[in-house]
Amino acid sequence: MSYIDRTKVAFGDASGSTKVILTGAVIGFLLPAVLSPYFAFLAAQYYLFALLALSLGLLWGYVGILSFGQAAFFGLGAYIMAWSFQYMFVPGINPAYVALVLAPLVNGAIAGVLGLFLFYSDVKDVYFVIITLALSVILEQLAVSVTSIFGGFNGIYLPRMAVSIPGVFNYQLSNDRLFYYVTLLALVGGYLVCRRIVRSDFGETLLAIKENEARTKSLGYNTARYKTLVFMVAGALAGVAGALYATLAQFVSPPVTGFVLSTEVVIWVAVGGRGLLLGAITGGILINAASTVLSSLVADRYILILGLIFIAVVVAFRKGVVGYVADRYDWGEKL
Amino acid sequence: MIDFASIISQTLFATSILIVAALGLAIIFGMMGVINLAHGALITVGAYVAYAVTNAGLSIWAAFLVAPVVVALVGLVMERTVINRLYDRPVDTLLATWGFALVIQELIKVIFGTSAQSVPNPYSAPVEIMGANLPQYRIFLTALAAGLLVVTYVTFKYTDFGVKSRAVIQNDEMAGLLGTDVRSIYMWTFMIGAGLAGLAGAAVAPIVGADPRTGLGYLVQSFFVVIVGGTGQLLAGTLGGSGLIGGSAAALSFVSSQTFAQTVVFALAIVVIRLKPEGLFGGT
Repeated sequence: MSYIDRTKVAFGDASGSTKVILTGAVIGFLLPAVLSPYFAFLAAQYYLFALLALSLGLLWGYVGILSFGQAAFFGLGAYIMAWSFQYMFVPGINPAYVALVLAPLVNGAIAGVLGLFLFYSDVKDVYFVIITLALSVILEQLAVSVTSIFGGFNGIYLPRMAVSIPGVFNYQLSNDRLFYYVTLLALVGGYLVCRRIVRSDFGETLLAIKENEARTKSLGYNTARYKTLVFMVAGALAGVAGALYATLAQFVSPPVTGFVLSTEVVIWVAVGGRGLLLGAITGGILINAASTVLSSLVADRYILILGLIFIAVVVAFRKGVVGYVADRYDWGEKL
Repeated sequence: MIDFASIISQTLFATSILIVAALGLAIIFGMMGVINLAHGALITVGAYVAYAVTNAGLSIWAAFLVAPVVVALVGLVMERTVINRLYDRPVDTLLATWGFALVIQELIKVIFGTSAQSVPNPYSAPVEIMGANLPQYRIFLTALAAGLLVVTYVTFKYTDFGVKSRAVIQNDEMAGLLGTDVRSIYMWTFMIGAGLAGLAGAAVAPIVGADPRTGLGYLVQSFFVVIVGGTGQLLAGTLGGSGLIGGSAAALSFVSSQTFAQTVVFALAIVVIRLKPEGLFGGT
């Protein structure tokens, strides 16, 4: 691909999808102006869940790696943020900044080690699902039982992060509307990074691995290396989402690492549209928003409804919501 | 104070419970290839059937008959509505069955509420064997595990149905051409797997009670049993897998906390899967 082609691909050719993304970003930017701070708080949560969903969307949609343990990275990121406030790893520096650097680094490293261990021996499909599921169960158990580090069921409280430049200003984002913009920025940034990845030559190779790993391997690609790298990126993204989530909620407890969240993310991505980054994001936002609304109407029964919708999507509407809309309006493939 | 007899009995008991819990999955996942994440939920249904039956004044033994039937019917609904469309899409069986797991768990909450229920234990008195006091029910469970394992193995290895079932699973097109009713064989095999999960639920209910998450704990363990033992290895795989996953966790819990033991065993299982993905007894 020439440089010009690359630019075209990276920035799109003002197709339907670009318009949709721009519209979404503008709506996202304006939303807090018309809605209450409480809504801003909820929406900020949805965006961070959407970022978590995006990390799975990248893995599942573009390399075909289905992880049932993505929440483990999210949870670890959340705990890293909490520990950063608790122990002040680097004195004199904004602990939130430290955590936002540490979370992706630590998660990336852990994902790298797991990738080396698992992908290089060709662990995949159901085996990978069960192993990631087990890892997420293990981490949740540790978080519950090792109270000295994780605070057990009582969790760890932490303050809302501040935006600061040392010696210039230090502003705590206690206002939910302001924090909303941090999460919007993180989501859009995460999306652009993922889109950049899937539209590069690297991304082409990932798709080839998803289509037919054996063939890609025989063409000389070190597929395990590719998978490990993407797993690291996804882990890092989920870690950032978790770190921001911790300081948004100002509280971290074992369920953020756990089994239930891990499997919920899979549902968000499947319903939104596996195979599309925008599908993952949409699923993350839509389902969480819907569950807030539904749970006020039908209490916990919304899980029942969600389960039925999920089964229907898996059996009959495999492309998910965004997948069908994108097909209908011809938005292209790498959204 | 650690005495040898209780280590052996604990290990044996943990292994037996896992055999009972994993056997249904060994059929549905190990043989049929359906990645049944609703396995835990089916066990939960079995436990609740035991609660409902005993609560209605009937004996727990009635529950041992009713639970497999009820859960096999749940399996029938799952298989007929959804799973039969997905036999060639394994990843989707995983997703769809997880959907079922959520639905079943929520329905249980609707019907029985969210609080845990207890189920009477038919053999609560301990019995002394070789100087150790063992709860009778544990001995019964060990016998049940051995019995179920043998009966299931013989059924699939030697009976007409078992041979047909294995033929259909291996090559359904060929089996169909030879005159086997593929649809009904798949259906019955799935129902047997589900029924065994239901029996498992009824069997563990007197010990752990019934609550909406009862089966969830057995889900990951059962998968490890089947994978570590070797998919498709009904007898040796289930026995060996259960011994490794359940037995070693029980043995380890004598020297450390239960959580730590579980963590070590899961890590061990992951290493086994990595080094020997076909399972300890798989790959002839």
